[in-house]
Amino acid sequence: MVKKRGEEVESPMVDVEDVPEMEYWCILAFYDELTYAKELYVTEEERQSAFTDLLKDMLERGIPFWYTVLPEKEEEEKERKGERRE
Amino acid sequence: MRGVSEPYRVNTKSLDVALRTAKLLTQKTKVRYTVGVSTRNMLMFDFDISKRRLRFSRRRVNLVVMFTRAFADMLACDATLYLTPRGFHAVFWKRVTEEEWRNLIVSTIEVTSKDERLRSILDVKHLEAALRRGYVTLRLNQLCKYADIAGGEVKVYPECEGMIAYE
Repeated sequence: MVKKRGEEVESPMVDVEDVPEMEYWCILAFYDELTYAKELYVTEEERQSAFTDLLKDMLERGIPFWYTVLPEKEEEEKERKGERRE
Repeated sequence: MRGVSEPYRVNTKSLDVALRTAKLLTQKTKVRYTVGVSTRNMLMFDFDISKRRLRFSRRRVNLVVMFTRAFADMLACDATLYLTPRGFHAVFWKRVTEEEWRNLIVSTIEVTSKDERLRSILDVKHLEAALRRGYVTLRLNQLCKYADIAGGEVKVYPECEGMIAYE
């Protein structure tokens, strides 16, 4: 499902009612900026991960879902910055 | 992008939009954003094992597997255990209604408060946050399938097992 940078990504669709509406404004606010985003945010680790299998399983089992963009946990962020310094 | 300073969540039904938004927010803020999958029709648990990356005791890993199998038995469904740098994540393959989902989480929190061993591994804050938001989220980055649990049998994937540095 996740392809190389720049390639189109096909996404499973869920009913609009399944996504909490209160946070839709965020998408609209960023629309213009997103138009100029050149690269997909997909790391090598993510490409090699099991997450496409997870999404496939959820689709095949008919479980409604959507995607959430969320910040890294604070401790991960600290760890990552620490690793970079090392 | 003005006004983007506090970390927050963005929900979308498009993986493309999610990935691009994460990229953009990471560029525009001082926080790294990742993409997760959210649902309110399936049970997902977090088992945060240790602050040290991928260093667990065998006893705690066995506890995680044991409780995941017990919950799968209770729900009469299969389950999958994923491993990430944050710990283990259990996914229970059963579609439930939103009401059933809420009841299951409430009862799990109640059970956890009475069971010291479960309390020592299950991230109850994750469940409480899911109740508040009305959905549960599993981060998708660096996900590795650790074990499948089906019909009471546990199949551990050796390549993921090899990532753990046991204490």
